[in-house]
Amino acid sequence: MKTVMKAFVASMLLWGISAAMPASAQTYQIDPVHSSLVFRVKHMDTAYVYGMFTSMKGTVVVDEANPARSSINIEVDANSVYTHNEQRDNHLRGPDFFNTRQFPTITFKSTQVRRINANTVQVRGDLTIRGVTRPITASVTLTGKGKNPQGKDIIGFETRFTIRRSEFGIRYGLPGLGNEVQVTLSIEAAR
Amino acid sequence: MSFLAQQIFWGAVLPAVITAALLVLLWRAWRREGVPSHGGTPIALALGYLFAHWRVVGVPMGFPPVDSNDWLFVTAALLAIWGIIEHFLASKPAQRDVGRLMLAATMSYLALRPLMGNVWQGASGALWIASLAAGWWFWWSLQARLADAQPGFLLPLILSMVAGGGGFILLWSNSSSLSQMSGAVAAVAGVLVPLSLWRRNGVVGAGGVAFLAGMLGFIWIEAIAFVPVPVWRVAAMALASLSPLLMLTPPLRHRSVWIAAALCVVVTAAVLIAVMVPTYRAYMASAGAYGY
Repeated sequence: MKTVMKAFVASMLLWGISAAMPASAQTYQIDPVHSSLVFRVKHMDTAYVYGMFTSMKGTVVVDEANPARSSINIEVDANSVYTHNEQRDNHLRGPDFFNTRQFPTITFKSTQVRRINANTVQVRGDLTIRGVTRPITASVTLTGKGKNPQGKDIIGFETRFTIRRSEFGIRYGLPGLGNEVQVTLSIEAAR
Repeated sequence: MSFLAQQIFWGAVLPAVITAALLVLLWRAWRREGVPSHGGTPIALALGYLFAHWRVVGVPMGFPPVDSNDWLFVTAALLAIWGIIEHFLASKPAQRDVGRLMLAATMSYLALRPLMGNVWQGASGALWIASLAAGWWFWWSLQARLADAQPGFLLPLILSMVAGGGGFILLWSNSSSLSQMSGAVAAVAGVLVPLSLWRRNGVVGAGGVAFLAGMLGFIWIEAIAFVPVPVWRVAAMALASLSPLLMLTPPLRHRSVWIAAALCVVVTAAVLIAVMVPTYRAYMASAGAYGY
């Protein structure tokens, strides 16, 4: 009888705690297999060269009732840079660009989320590349919601923004290799 | 002007001109005070190098620097001061050795410590840093001894060759910025060769070699740590720079300076080519159509 009472009290406490939490805040884990981080930079002021990072992780907290409580944290493995040329990838990993032995990750941590319309939010946050942190602002669009083949809830976002690499200490090759880097980030996250 | 021509102009030609002009100016200014002319050599070399660094890589974004390339800039500025100190301590080799050891240990620790726990786990990080600092200091001190024994044009010529050849080795090892910084050292060292032939009383001096060898050694330990360039390639470059030791051997000691110097140049070139050829082949094998 004593054990049954303890279980009852514990379950009531758990119910009370969960009821106190914001019901609409949902935490998703980024699915690296179905997420993409693509960038482009101009070569010799002529053509755009595209590259991507193939490995990332992080969390997305979505609060639809109160978007200001939403957040996103992303950690990208800088060594996973891929541009379809092994030598260029090795060059990008070196001290001329990402210096991955010293700075193995690229991170983004949101500081503010503001709703623009039903499917779009404006996200402000700190982007850290090569040990240098700069604030950036990007418009993020909800691209869809559903369930994956494993039955988990999934949600998708996409954003596109431009940074100046020199502001992050990546100054090598200017101006032959463009300063402006357009970044496209597409995230699928599951919970 | 093409991209490559711009890089050569800003990273080598103009730094060499700046160093040459400053050498002549400082040489005249310092001579009026009764101080030997080569007292200003490290300042002239450092300013030429710093100009190249500013144009090619940019100035540090803050202090203390967080980036390995930015430490090169700081080290060059420190070596300008250290070069002047070595100049005034020219007759005190033990004090110069101790000072170099402290500088090599401090700069190695500051620049390489971000790799501890990141690339080098546990005690291996301390071991790597201590080994690289010790190697840098040992080679740097050997160069100082050579400068004392061979005060003429040969040492800057050999250092210029090694820095230039080393620049290609670094380029083909995936580091253009370190390659160009090595090229900048080659350019400013190269300026000393004709000036040493012109002024035979020793334009280079203890301070000049303190800067050149200190800078080159620091570029090499950064190349090993951050690129990473295989240790054997850097060891071979360091070995190539020791050819002036041949001048001190009995068979060459009494030979004509020109014949002995020519032999040193040939030996240095042969060692450099022996490293450059396999490095270039390995680079081309994986480069595909990538040409920066």
